[in-house]
Order: sequence, then C-alpha cells, then structure tokens
Amino acid sequence: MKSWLPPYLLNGPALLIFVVMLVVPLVMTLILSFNSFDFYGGIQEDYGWHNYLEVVQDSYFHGIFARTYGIAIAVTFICALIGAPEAYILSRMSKTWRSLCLLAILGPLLISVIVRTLGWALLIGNNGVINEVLLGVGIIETPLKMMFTTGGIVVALVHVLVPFMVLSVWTTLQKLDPQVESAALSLGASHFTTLRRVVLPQVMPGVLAGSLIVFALTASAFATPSILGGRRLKVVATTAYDEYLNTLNWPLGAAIAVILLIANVVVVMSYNRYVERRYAAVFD
Amino acid sequence: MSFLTLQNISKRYGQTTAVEDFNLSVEKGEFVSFLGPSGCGKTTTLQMIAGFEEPTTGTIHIDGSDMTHVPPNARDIGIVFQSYALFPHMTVAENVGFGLEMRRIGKPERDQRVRETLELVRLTDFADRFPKALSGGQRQRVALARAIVIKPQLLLLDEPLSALDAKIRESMQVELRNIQHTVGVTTILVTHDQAEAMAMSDRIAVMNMGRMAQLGEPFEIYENPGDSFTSNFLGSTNLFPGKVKSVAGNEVSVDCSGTEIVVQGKSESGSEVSVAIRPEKIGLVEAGSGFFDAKVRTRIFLGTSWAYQMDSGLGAFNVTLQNTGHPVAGEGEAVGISWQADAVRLLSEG
Repeated sequence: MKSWLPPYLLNGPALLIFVVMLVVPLVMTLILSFNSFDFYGGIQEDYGWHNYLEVVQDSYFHGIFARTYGIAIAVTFICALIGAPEAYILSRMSKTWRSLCLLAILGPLLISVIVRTLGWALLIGNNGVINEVLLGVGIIETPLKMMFTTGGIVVALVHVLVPFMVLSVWTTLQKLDPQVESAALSLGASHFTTLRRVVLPQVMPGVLAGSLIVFALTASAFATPSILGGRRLKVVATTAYDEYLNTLNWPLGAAIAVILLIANVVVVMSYNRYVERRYAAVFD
Repeated sequence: MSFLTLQNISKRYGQTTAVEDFNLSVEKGEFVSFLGPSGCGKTTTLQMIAGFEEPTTGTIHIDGSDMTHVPPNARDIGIVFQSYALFPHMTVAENVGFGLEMRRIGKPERDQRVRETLELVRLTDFADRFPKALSGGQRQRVALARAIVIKPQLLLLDEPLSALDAKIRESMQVELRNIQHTVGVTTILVTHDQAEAMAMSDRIAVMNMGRMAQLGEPFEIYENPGDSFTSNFLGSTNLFPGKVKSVAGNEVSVDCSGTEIVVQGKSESGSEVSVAIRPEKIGLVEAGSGFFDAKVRTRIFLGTSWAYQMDSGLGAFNVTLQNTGHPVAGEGEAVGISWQADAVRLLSEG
C-alpha cells in the first residue's frame, strides 16, 4: 500500500458522512435559492437573484431579521450577565455542591427541546401557572401577556443557553492563578475591585467565546421561537420553515436560510477575529 | 516590643495541626527566613502573617498594633508569590502601579514612583510590555517591584526564586538582598532551600512538623544545630548513633559501634545520643594514625571539591575535601579519619 493512502482511507468514512449529510444539502439549498416559484407550476428551473432581492427589499423581512438579531443580542447579553457570575461562584464551591449545581445548570440541556419549551408554555401562558398564581393572590387583575412575546422567547432561550456560557467561563476560570486574587488583595484592593479589575478581565476571553456560541445558537434557534412565538411572531428560522411548508415557496425559504447562514458566519468570524487580535498580546 | 511579633500562633484544620505554638519576634529592617521541608507549616505561617489564613490561637502584632484579624487588604504588606501572580492583562507599569492606584495616589506621583521602582529592579525598558513577553527572572523582578512600590511595612517572599533556574537564582539572591538593604523593609522569606536561606537572611527559623526547630543567625545554627533535623536540613551531616560511656567535666566519651569518640558537651553516662560531624570537617590521614580507619567506596570530583563516600565500622558516611590541586586517596584505598576536636557535636537523641 502506498504511504499516502492510509490517511485518506482512515478519513474516508467521516468525509463521506460530511459530504452526504452537510455539503450536498447545503449546495442543493444554495442552488434552490436561485430558482423561482410559481403558484400553479411549482419550482421553476431558472436562475436569478430575485429571491434575495425580495428579502433585501421587503420591510416585512427586515422586521424579522431585526427581531432575530435583537433576540440574539439580548439573549447573549443576559447569558453573559448571569453565566459569568454563576461560573465564578461555581468555581468557589466545595466539590459536592459544585457537582450538584453543575447538574442543575446543565439540566436544561438534558431535556428534549420540545418538552422544555412546552414546560415554559405551561408556566407563562395566559392560563399558565404564573398568571394563575398572580391572579389568585390578587396582584394583577388581568393575565400578563408573556406567551407569544419576544420577552418569553428570550427568557426560554436564556434558560437553555446559559450552560454554554457557564462552561466557557468556567474553563477560563480554571486557568486562573488563584494567587493573582491574593496578590490584588495584598495590594489593598477590595474584593469587588479584585473581581472587577483582576478576575473579570482575565475571564473576558471565556465570556466572549461563550457569547459567540450563545449568539450563533440563538440566531439560528427554531423550536423555542416557534412554540413560544407562535406563527405570527416570527424569527428568521421559523420564517424559512413557513416558506417551505406553508407557502410551499421553497426557493424563497432557501434564500432566507442562505442569508441567515451567511450573516451568522460573517458575525461569528469577525467577532472571533476581533477577540483573537484583542487578546493575542496578553494571553497564550 | 519588636516590629513584628507572633505570639503562640497555631493553626489547625480539623484534626490536623499545620502550625503549633509558634513564637517569633522580628526587628525593623530585619530579614528572617522560614526554612523547612514542604508541609512543615512555613507557608501557613506566612499566610497568617499576610492575613489569608486566621490563626486558631495566638496573636500577630505589626508595629505595635494587633493584626490578627485584620483582612489582608488592610494590612499594608507586600507579597511576592511563588507563581509571581502578575496580572496578565496589565503591562509591567500597570502591574507595579496597581497598589498605588488602590491607595488613591495621584497619577503624577504614581508614575514617578513606578519609574523609580522599575529603575531599582532594572526593568525601565520593559514598562510597556505584558508579563507574557518577559523571562522568568524579569517576571520575578516585576513581582518584587509591585510588592515594594507601595512601601509596605512588611515584605513577604513566598519561595520567590524556586521557579528560576540555578544560575539566575544565585544572581537574584544577591540582587534581592541588595534591594532589601536599599529599601530597608522588614522581610520574611519562606523557602525550602537552605543555601538560599543562609545566603539572604539575618536570621533563620528552621521549621519542622509545624514547630520551630531552631532560630538563629545562619552561621550560628549551621555550626551549632540543636537537633539532627536542623543539622541535616542545613547542609549535610554524618550522624553516628551511640551510647555515652563516660562523662569527664565537659568531655563526653561516646561508644559508637565499638569506636570511642570524644565530644564536647553535656550528657549522662548510659544515655542514647548521636555524634554529628559535617562532611567538610573531616580530614583524611595515613591509615592507622586517625581516630579510626575507613575505606573509600566512591570518589566524585566536583571541581572545587572532592566528594567521598566511606565505609567503616561505624557505617557509611560522607567526606568533602577541598580540591588543593594535589592527588588524594583513590577508590578502594584505606585511610585514617581525623578531625579537629571542636568539629564534632553531641545531639541528645538516638
């Protein structure tokens, strides 16, 4: 056997799966996005930019993209706000408590997305637990509207995505020299100043890496916005789904999906480059 | 009252005792080392002085005021950590200036003092670099500068040189000592390296198993170790266990496996003792003309000296001879063993 052959053979199965499962559908989606759609004749075998132009020019789609990225930014921000302190507290816990709390934090990831989201629907619906309790106690007169709102989507997405932030920050915290905090204290810094000036800047790479994961997952989230947002409060992923399955306008759905993919890749790549350049001089 | 006073300090973690009944008085400007093997309680004691640990019993006074329960950020102590613990996201100048910033010292004065201190540790050209871009010795000096720029009452050095390689370590010892003299700050050094402790300190506190084994000037405790632990930990020592045969005034005659050795000291007839002699204080003479005879098992040339391992009726022991440029006894040769009368020590344990 020739010496260059074994690596290729070993890579073969994985490469095959990758090509069949990812590259082929992606390329087909890309091609589909250039076709046009006719209500009576179905998908037409022509090629053009019209689907893209429609998305770019229609304010209806602008609103959907704005909502999607608005939700993504809000969820990322809240996850950072909750996840970073959570990871720090976790790192200071005793072993037994840490394992228990880690399990609680990772919990949402262990539950099926549908079950978890329907759980949120039970909780925040108009006849849901929260409204029933608040009405029963007499704090409110009419049910609070939480279901089918952007707020509801954000809360549910934070719930499931915060573990990614915690794990990412946690990893950076592990690399932190514990003596560095002692050093800051010995130089006269208060505990709060130590956290703000010494610990936080050092875990920033972890926060930024976690943000990247949370942002990408939120921007392409489907199940949660679909159940909690309903058919009217759309995000990009649910819009693409509706174009495919309700309007049956596959080419337009494909164009939306491609735009979402490209937008996400651009955001993630430039953000990553920024982070790497920002911290290259400081960290290994 | 001395500048730093530790009174009956002990520290227990559940059932284990890390430090037991530790007493020490340090004068202003003095350089004292805590020397001992790992787990002897020296770092715990330092942590208590720094305020990161609270003593289970006892008190700590600095310059007359009780500091036992004062938090570390209110103690005005400069610390150089074993890992240096530099802030990786700050430049050298920012690292050094941090303590001054915490003391709310204005920017002009801060910059001035940072510059002076960096000059003192010879790092002026590195002010704008990040710690990542520095060598081990340079990081060490940044850590030192950061600790002394605040003009602390007390400087604590926690194994500051252990991460450096041998050559740099030696030059840093001298440099650290010089800087300490220039600044005049009272300093406590924790180390397991006896050469480091002896080279740098005014006094050494030898610690063993949570207790202070001996306290004194380096020369004094090297020459007159109180027990076999100190004797062995400071330099190396040959110990010959034996039984006191007779006592005549200040002279004790000890029977070590059939060989009689006379030692200056006090003891009682019949008690179990050890006779200690340092390898460099033994001389080799013609076979038959020394106190007893021994055979050279191995001989190693070390440049400035020869290291011998000897076999004898008293067991194996070591001898170090200065290299005088003349040939000395070779392996397998029989030689006589002799020493000056005041070179041997009597240790009151078996």
